[in-house]
Amino acid sequence: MKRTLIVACMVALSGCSALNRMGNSLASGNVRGAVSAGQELEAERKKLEAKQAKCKAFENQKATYEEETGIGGAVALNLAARTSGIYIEISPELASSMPQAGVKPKPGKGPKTDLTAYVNRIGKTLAANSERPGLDWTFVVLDSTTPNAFSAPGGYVFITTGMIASVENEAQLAGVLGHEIGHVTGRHAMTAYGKTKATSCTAAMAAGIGTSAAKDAVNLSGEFELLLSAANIDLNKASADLIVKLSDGLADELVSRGNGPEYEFAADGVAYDLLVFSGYDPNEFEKLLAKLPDGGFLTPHPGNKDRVAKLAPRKAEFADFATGLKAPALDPVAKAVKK
Amino acid sequence: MTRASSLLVAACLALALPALAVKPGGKLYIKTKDTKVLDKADAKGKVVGTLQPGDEVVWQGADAKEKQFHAVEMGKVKGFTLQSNLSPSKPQTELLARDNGAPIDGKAFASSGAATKALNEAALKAAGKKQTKAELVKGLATAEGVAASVTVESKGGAK
Repeated sequence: MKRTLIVACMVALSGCSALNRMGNSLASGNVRGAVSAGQELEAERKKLEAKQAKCKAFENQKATYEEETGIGGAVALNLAARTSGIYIEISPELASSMPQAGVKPKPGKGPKTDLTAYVNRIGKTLAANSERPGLDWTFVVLDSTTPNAFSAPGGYVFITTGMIASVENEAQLAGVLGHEIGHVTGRHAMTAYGKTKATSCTAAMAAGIGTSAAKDAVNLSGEFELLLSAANIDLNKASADLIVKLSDGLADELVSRGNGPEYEFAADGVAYDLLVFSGYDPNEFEKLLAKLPDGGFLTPHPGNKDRVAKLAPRKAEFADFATGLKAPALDPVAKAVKK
Repeated sequence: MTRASSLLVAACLALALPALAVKPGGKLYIKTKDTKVLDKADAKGKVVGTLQPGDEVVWQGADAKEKQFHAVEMGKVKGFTLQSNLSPSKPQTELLARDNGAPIDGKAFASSGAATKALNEAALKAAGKKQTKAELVKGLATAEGVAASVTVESKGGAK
């Protein structure tokens, strides 16, 4: 009985004082006091279970625009921090047009300049055809020779110079960006975010008192309780601890597990559609998929044959519409990356 | 396979490949502001109507010769418009919860004092807590600045 109560105490947030009272009561032979403390422990355990059950609701809670863009910015920085950096060389002309950024241009880079603007021109054209043209889309080039692309909620799309170097033409580059746009418009990462929120909430509620992390854990449990009772969540008003906890959890999930095969197939479908409606030849996307490493570069993806096969029905669906589509050569700023 | 698992498989397949056949008589959406509908597949054609983003049109197919012009109908407006003015899906409107679901325009929101883009408060708080390198924050803010300076050309992507 005592062991059961001790275990119950370990998972209860505020049960340790009750455990102490129970231990003291038992030591002094005060059976009635021990029973009373045990009942208190049981009540605490039930309260904790009730709170944790509420945490589960986060899994299916639809995030507001503010919450999506809030976690999106934090995760974008989090993911970018795991890379070798952002490709920020821009031309003096472009820098002068956006003095608010406070960026000093690096002249003498020749064709390397304006690559970010080029990628944004393609990406924003595709995004204009998407279900969410009103998102504040930002396409970011990462300075990494490893071919990769990923996205964060709210309209952030990242592509490495290595991926740009691996595409043969603008249609293939658009295909990569379109796939990531598909993850954002489908709010795919928000599914993982809901689970991250629920898991973090559950852990915060259960965090024990007396550990070195107790103070933070208790603070987060209180903040999660406030979020549970809030009609809408705006992470811009949340504590830095909470934002870091959630963005770390979501970024870890996206890097280690990816979005899952169903969402990857869905994003391929969106990419195909966006290519067609933006005037790009979608066959180039298929060619690109076929030559990618099977299973993805860094994050898990379905096999290439399956991805190409899933796109096959779309050819028939778009046969009448997809006329006069092109695969333009890459702009010199992108070709320079290939060297 | 049980009925439940069959339904689950069907649901997964539907998720993976949502049906979007574009056949004559099918629905498409206007994506470009003040889209002109012309009486013939020619840029010099007479304007028979002006449509707006989100307008649903019936697609009748590409012109046999001028393939970039596609025949569309919306009520009494019938004619040709550029393929690049058409979109497969009706654009969703982003809604601000704090203003009781008021619709926003992403660009307007980004340029307003509410966003001042260059990263939201949540991102900056997290960056500060994690001691993310200042150049990374600056780099992402710069990319946002570049993105904001890029305007989408109405004639579409591929030239």
